[in-house]
Amino acid sequence: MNGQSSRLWLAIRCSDLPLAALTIDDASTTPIVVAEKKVVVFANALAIEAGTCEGMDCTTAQLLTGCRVADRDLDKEQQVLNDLSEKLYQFTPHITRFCSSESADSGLLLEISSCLTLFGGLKNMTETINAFLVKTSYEFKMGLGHSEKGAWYLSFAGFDITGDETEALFLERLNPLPVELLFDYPKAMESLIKTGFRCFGDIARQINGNSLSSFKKRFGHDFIDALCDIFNIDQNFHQSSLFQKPRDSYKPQEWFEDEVQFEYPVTLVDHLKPAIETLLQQLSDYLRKRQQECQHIEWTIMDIYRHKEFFGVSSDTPQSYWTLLYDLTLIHLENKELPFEVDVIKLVCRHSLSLQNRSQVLDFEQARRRRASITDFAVTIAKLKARLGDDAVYKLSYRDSRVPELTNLAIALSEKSNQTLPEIFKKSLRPTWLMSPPEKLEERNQRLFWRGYVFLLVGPERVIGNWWDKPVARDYYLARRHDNLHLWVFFDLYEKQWYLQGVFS
Amino acid sequence: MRYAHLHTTTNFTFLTGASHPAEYVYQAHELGYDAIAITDECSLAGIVKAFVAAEELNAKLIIGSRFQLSNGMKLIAIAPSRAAYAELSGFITLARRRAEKGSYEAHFDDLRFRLRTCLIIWVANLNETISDEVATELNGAFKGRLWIGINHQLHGGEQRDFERWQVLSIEKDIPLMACGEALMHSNERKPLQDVMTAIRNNTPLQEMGSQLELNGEAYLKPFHQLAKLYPPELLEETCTIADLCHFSMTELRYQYPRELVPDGLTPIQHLRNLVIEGKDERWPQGVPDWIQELIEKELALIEELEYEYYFLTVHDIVRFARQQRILCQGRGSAANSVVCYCLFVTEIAPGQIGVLFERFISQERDEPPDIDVDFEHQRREEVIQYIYQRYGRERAAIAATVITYRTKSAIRDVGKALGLDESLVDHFAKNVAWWDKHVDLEKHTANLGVDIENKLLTHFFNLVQQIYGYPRHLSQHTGGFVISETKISDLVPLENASMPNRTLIQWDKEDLEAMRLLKVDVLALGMLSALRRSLDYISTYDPVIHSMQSIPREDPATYEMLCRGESVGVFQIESRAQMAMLPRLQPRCFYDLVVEIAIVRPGPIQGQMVHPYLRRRSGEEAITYPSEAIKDVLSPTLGVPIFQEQVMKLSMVAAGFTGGEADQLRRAITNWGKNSKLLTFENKFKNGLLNNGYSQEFSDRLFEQIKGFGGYGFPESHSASFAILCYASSWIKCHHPAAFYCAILNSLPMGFYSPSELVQDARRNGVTVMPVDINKSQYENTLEIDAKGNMGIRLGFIRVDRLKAEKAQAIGSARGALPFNSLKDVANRTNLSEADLEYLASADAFVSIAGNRYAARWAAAALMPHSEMLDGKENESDFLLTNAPTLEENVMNDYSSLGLTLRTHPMEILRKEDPFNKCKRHSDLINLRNKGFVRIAGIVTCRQRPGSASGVMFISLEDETGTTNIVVWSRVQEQFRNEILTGKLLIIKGIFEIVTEKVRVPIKHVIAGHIENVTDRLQNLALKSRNFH
Repeated sequence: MNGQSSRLWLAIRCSDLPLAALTIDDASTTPIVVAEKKVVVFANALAIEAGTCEGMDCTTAQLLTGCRVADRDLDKEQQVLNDLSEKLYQFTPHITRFCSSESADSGLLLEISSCLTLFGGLKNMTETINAFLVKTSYEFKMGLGHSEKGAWYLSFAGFDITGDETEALFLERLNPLPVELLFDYPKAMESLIKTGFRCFGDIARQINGNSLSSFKKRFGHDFIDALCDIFNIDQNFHQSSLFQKPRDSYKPQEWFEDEVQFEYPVTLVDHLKPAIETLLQQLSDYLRKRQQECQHIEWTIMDIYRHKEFFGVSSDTPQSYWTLLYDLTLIHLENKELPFEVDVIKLVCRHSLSLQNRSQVLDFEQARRRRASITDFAVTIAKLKARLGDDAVYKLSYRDSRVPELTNLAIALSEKSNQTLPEIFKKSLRPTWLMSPPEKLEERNQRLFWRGYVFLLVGPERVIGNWWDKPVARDYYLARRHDNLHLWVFFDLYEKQWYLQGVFS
Repeated sequence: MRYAHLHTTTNFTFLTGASHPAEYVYQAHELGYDAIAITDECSLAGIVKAFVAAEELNAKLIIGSRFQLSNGMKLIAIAPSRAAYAELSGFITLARRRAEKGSYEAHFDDLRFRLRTCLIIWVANLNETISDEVATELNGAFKGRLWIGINHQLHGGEQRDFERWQVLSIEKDIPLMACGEALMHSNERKPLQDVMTAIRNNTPLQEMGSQLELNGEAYLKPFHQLAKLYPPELLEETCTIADLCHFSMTELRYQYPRELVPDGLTPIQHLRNLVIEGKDERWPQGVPDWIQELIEKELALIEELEYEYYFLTVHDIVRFARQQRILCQGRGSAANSVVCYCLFVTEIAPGQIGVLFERFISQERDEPPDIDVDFEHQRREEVIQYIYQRYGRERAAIAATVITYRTKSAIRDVGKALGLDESLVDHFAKNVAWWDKHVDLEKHTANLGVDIENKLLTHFFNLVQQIYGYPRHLSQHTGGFVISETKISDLVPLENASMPNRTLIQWDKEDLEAMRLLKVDVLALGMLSALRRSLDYISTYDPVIHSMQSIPREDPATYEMLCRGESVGVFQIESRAQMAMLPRLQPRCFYDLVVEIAIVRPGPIQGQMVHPYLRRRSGEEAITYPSEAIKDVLSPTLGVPIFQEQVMKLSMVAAGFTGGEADQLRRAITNWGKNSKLLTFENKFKNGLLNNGYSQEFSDRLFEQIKGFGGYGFPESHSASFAILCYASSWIKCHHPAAFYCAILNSLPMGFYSPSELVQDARRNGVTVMPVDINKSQYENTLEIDAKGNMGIRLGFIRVDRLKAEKAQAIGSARGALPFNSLKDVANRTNLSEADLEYLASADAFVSIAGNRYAARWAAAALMPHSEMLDGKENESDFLLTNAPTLEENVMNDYSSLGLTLRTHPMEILRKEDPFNKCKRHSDLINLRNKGFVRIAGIVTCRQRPGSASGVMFISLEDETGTTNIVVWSRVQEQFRNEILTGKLLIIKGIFEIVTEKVRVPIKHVIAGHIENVTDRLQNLALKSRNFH
């Protein structure tokens, strides 16, 4: 085996990530399993004690042990790893993620050879990292090795880091690890086990005795690459350094953050405007230079005692220019009094996205006007939302239901609405204006009355259903008011009461 | 006011109609309708059920069917006559056969040319565009027998629509009639109907919207409501149609194939000739007079009831099987017939049991006889193909089995339709454990901590109970054939089965019985395959034993073996309960086996007949009879009634019943609790006894006793037929164990035991079992002389996991007489892939040519494709450096690749470790005292909870020295439910019990108290030897 370089990898394996990422309060006192596609991928100690294990069908786990089942959330796990990377960036820029395709294990790999001096040597550095990790709420296993995979597999071995480790020692420590750890290569792993390979040492002995080619012809290139990484074998015998895999560098997340300090305490909103405009213009420059746009910004105002107040401003459509955000900010502040005398105003934009390039077409059909009106509509909506709140602005979608007032659904503007009526309703007599909820009809002089006397014309059409929720039993009639206005009324068979359901145009 | 309902969709229009056919008939009768037509969609599947109900009420039933034509029209065809019925049945067959299973394809042109006498109702669809051309065409095609059906369901726009149809009616002179569709007999079924629609659409109710029925008006309405919906003349018109219908299902007569009778002979003459031929063979020394009398009596009744063709047809099928050396044997009540015995359909001679022909055929019952014939399960297809070939697919078809909702399927489908959380539904379904036969779902769910007050859950529970028993689809019966002289489709529609080239009729077994149609059951029985194989094996070295008839009868050694309870693999008496009964009952002759098979059943146990029988058998209780007549009936079973035939005979000799009445009594007892007429017989039975001088107390006790085993009573004839196979398999096990186990292993799946358990049992019985070997094994397991010169078993390639049958079968022929000398040689001379070679290597099949399984697999993984140029040029130094497999590894690898091991039992390996070293072995139990504490560990080989054991569960625990029987009482089952359900390796603490009373060989078992699941220790067995280094 030939050593390639003097790189040193620290593996940080998050052994309880699937559960920890979910931040469940009573996770330490209740048996809980985390399941993905109905299969248990992680079980906490109490659940294991109760008899569950990974790979078990989650219904079986629930039935056998009564444990709680939580669904795995890969996004949250990624977020945890992101946050950790962000924090560990202070130790080394070379951070990569390690996510297994076959198990719930994931974690980070830190290449630390170039940072050892800065942190006072290997032992000090790993102790500092460990001290830092202990403060988090996650459970970690650390492994030190000469290669990415070597370090990762050694994280299962549980050796203390002394600072005197050498490559030979790493290889020696790898030897007793069971072959079952190669679960990311399931076919090769099964084959190795069925051929009597019990540990990594058996593999190393076979390689030393018969060369790597005996594995290559049986298990293919991917597995050979993995073995080379684990055992630090150089497959390129000439000028190996030219083919050395470059180290990945972690790119910390970037965001915009700036503030303006006032020369005197500001007491009126109007006096904030110049600072707001300046900060938003700076944000606009920041975004333009990075070819990005954003939908949400956060404002913070502070007084000299560092009392703070936050408010956020959002737009339905991404913005790269400052003006709409400025308008929306002012709408937010209008008719409001400042809570204190403002000393500092700060603008933060944490999340931005790549600018959506919009191609400009030749405008033979005056499409530009339509586009302009679409833009105006977006601006209007944003302003309406800013003034009235998100919930106040919505659109209607058709929902297929036998109960008329349930056929209109208020949905968010961004959602796609359904405007297609089922065939059966297109043919039926249905008014376009529906009451939701239906209005009660009065009975005056033994006649129906709704802002005038109502006469039944045609019916009944009986609607019975929705029994699984709020049962409905109604006889519908086409009716006419004295002024010839046509109405759609019904008699509720449960309540024995007449209602107005709709008005025909 | 008169009215006939002519538009009815039952639940045999699967997942659409929400009521049973009979419910419609009852409701229509109650409402005072003149008639009701069952008009399921392109189906007559539900009409027999409706017919039975109509007969009961003497109500008028009209047969029809509804079709959605490819042009969008909806028509109902009504059969007014027998000819029209045949047309309709034929048309449904056509429409069904040309579409995939479960659907149909009907075109207007087919309808017009095929339905020449049916009455046609054109169902007026709301908002349907009425084409003048179509109306003219319809009128032309069905002039004088066409109506427009007005279907008022209180939908919007119906009044307006009605006017359009009225105009058309006048213009084209097509009468209008009231044709409101019924999807349920009562509107209370609306939720169920919605749920079924949701299930059919595979969509939760909440998302179904307008796909659900607008309201619940599609039901049978009382007259005052009908009068509000339809003008009187439209209601009257329904009766005009009904009056035109004279067809009754009772007209359906059907003929058996006649070609089986040679020219110049009548059917009875031909049958008589065959019987004479057969009886000479059966009684070469001459037929005893009493048997001759029986033959004459049977033939006379067969002729009178015109069943000759049925017997001839069954004889023809059995004759074919015998010609092909396919083992077959009739079972069930047919064994009561001497004619069947003479025709070689059954094997029970009249002297062996007290045959009672009335149990088989009776004049009073007026029902067709039922002959069930078992064939070797691996060769039954040959018999089926013969039937198709002989009679053609138009004249032979398999009966249907109606697949109905059971608890689990109801929970799953209703839960899904109600939009309940998938995992919750899964939870409910899985929690209905396999021993919970009478499910109290609400109770279970409450125990699980689920809030049953939740409204949706309340609906869920109600709907699950409602849908239980509803038909879901038709499937094919296990082997019930209907064969006819003419086209079967004239009688009942045929449709495609899911198996290619299979057709089935739309009626099930009960329908056929109700319609008195004859059915031949061509059943598959694994034991017949095993017996055929055993006989073939034995005849290779002992030519005297070549057939069932050549097996020596009443062999004492065989009974001795059974008395010890050694019956693993033996037909019918291998269950845990049967094995426990054998030492008690001490079978010493064939009839004892007949009793043994019948007695371990819920009926005799619930009727409290077992202990009296055993007491009398052991001489502890005096055998007394109230009269000589009763003695004649009950003496074979020591005065205790055990068989259905005995009940019948008792009623005949003691209560004065005729043979037919006795059979009706038997049927009433069988159906007790299910609308049975038992009470009508009670007085007659008791009075009969009193009139014949028996005491009141005796008559009461006897009636209660026979009622007790009612539905579960076993016919003596059936038990006797099975006892023949039971004795044959026992004899072979006793005298030719190698052939016996080899045959059973090759006939799997069958019986109670896994290959591993059978092999362990074979070895305990002194049979050497040899491993799979590339140079010695064949595809199947084979007999081979072992090292000591005894007959042993060589495991075949059939046992190698994942190795495909065709590949495994080819190895033997590729090898021929020249053994393989290396892996490379195997690869070159066979078509085995690299993966196949690895499977064989993992099974240790190359040990003679390539070393241990590890080395062989390593070598197999690197074999290059065969090439003349490369041969001999490969790098041969690529040897494996890992250690040879340890014993533990070999054992675990054997299990994973062969499903069994011939090496050390896993328990022997675990025995060295704690806590197994503190557990007793099975062989240690011999030294234990009765009622002593015991801790025992072993692999679970069998779990049984027989219905006859009042909730007790039996577990068989196998260790390296034998199998221990564990008895688990209900309380312990509840406490250790998880352990029992999931444990493969258990440690059981309990009380060792030795039962010596009334048995010659003491019965030993452990009464479980504490159960621990240590299955993980088994799974880790292979890992233990992996010491990291």
